Amino acid sequence: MAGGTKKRILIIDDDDLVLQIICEVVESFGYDVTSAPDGESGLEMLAKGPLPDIVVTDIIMPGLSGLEVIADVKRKFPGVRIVAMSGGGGSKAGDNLATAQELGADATLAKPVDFPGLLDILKDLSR
Amino acid sequence: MTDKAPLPEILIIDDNDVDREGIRRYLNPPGTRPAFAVTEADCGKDGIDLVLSRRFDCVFVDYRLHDMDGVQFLRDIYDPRSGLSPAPVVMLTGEGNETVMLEALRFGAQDYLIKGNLSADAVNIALKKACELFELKAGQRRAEEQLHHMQRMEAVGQLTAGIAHDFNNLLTVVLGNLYQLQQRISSNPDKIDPQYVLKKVETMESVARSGADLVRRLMVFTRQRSLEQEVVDLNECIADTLELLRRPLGETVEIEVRAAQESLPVAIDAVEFGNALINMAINARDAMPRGGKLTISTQKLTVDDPYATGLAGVAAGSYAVVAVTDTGTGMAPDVAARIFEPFFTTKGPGEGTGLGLAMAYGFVKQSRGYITVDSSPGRGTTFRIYLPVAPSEATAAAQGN
Repeated sequence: MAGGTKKRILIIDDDDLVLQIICEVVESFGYDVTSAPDGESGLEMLAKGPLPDIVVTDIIMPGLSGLEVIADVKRKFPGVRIVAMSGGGGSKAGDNLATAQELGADATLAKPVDFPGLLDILKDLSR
Repeated sequence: MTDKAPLPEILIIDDNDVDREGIRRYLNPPGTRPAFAVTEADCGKDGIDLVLSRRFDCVFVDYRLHDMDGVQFLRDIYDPRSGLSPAPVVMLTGEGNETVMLEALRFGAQDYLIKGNLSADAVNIALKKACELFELKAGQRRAEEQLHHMQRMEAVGQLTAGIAHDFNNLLTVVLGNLYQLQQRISSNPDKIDPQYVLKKVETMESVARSGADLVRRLMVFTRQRSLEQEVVDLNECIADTLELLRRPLGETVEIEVRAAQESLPVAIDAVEFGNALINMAINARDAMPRGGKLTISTQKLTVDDPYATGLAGVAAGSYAVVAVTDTGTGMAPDVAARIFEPFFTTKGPGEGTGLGLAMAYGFVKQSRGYITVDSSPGRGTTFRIYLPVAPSEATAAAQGN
C-alpha cells in the first residue's frame, strides 16, 4: 500500500463461508481486515472504533439488514466509504443494490462476487 | 363435412349378435352413407383390450356380458390419473334393471339405454349426450390440472428468489477459492503446496455438493404431476420443507419448530403437503412485513366428541395436527372467511394468484383431513391442518387379508 499504512476494511456478511473467503482474499490484497457476522455487531464495532476506511456489507441479513447498516453508517460516520453486496432474493426481491446506492453506498457489487472487480472497487475507494 | 374427415369411432360390446346388429343399424341405417366407423366385440375382455389400445369416440356396452358385468368393465378401463375412462361409455341393459344402471353411472358411465326401448333417436341422443358429458368432465379435469400447475409454479417462484441468493453465496465461495488458487499458482508456480491446494479443492467440492442438494429439493416441487399418496412421517416432511423455506423466510422471520416427540404417520402426497406448508409460510411472512415469529408445531390428537372439542365437522378419530402460527397483522373475519376461495387474494397484482390456500384446502380434502384458520386483526393467524393418522404397518397388515 502506498504510504505504508494499510487501509482498514470491515466486512459484514451473515454467511460464514462467504465472510471467510472475502476476508481471506481482501487481506491478501494488502488490507487490514475485520469482520462481523451481522449488522448489529458491525455497527457495534464501528461505534467502538477504530473506524474502518471502508465497510463492505451484505444486504439481506437476519436482524438489521444491510440497507439499515448503510443508512446508519452514512448518518453517524459520513467519512466511511461503503460497498454494498447482494445476491438477490429475500422477501421483497426488488432491486436492493439500487436502494443501497440511493442510501449512499459508494459502490455496489452483485453476488457471486467478482474478486478482481472487488479489488478494483477497493483500490478506487482507497484513493 | 368432406369425405376425408374420419368417421367417429364407435365400439359395441355385447355377446348377443342380434343386439349388436340392432345398435349398428340405429347408428348407420341401411341404405344411407355410414355416419360412424363401428367396431364390435362379443365379450368384456376383448372390449377392454380394444378400449385400452385404440381411441374410440364412444363405447356401447351391455351390462350383462358372459365374462363380466358392466361395473367390472367400467372398473377395468377406469384411469385413476385422469379420473375418467378412456372414452365415453353408454351402458345397455334389459328392462327392469334401472338400479344397476344407476350403479353404472356411479362407476363412470355417461348414460344408459334400456334395450326394450331402443330407437334410432334414443341411441343417437345417448351417444351425443355421453360425448358432451365426457368432454365436459375432461375439460374440467384439464382446468383443475392447469390450476394445480399454476399453484406449483407460484410456490416455485417464491422459493427461487431465496435459492438464487443461496446459490450466489455458494458461487462466491467457489470463485474466491479459485481466485486464491490462481493467485498462488501464478505468483509462485514452482512452489505449490499440495496441502493448500487440497484444502481449497475440498472446500469447493463441499460447497458444490450443497448447491446440488438445493437443486434436488427444488426439482421435487417442479414436478407436473403429484405422486400417489404414501405413508410418511409428518415431522420428516416438515423438516424437509423447512430446508427450502429458511432462506425466503429466515431474513426477517424467526422460525420455531415444536415437533411432537412421537412419529406422525399420515397417508399423504408429501409434495402437496410441502406446497401447502410453503403457501402458509409465505402468507405468514407477508403478514409480518417488519419481521416476527413463525411457529410450526405438530401433535397427535384423538377426537372422540367433535362438538365437545370445538371441532364440529371433524369426524371422530386420530389426527396428526400441524399448526402454523404467525405474529403478523391477522385478518378481519370477512377476509378470514374467504381465504380458501380460489383467486381470492389480498395481495397486489403480480404478488399472488390467490391460489395458494385454495390448493392447500384441496390437498387437505384429498387427504380426508380438515383445515381451520384462527385469526383476528393485530393478533396474528394460526392455520391448523388435521390429517388422519395412518394405521401403522402392523395394524394395516392385520386388517388386510
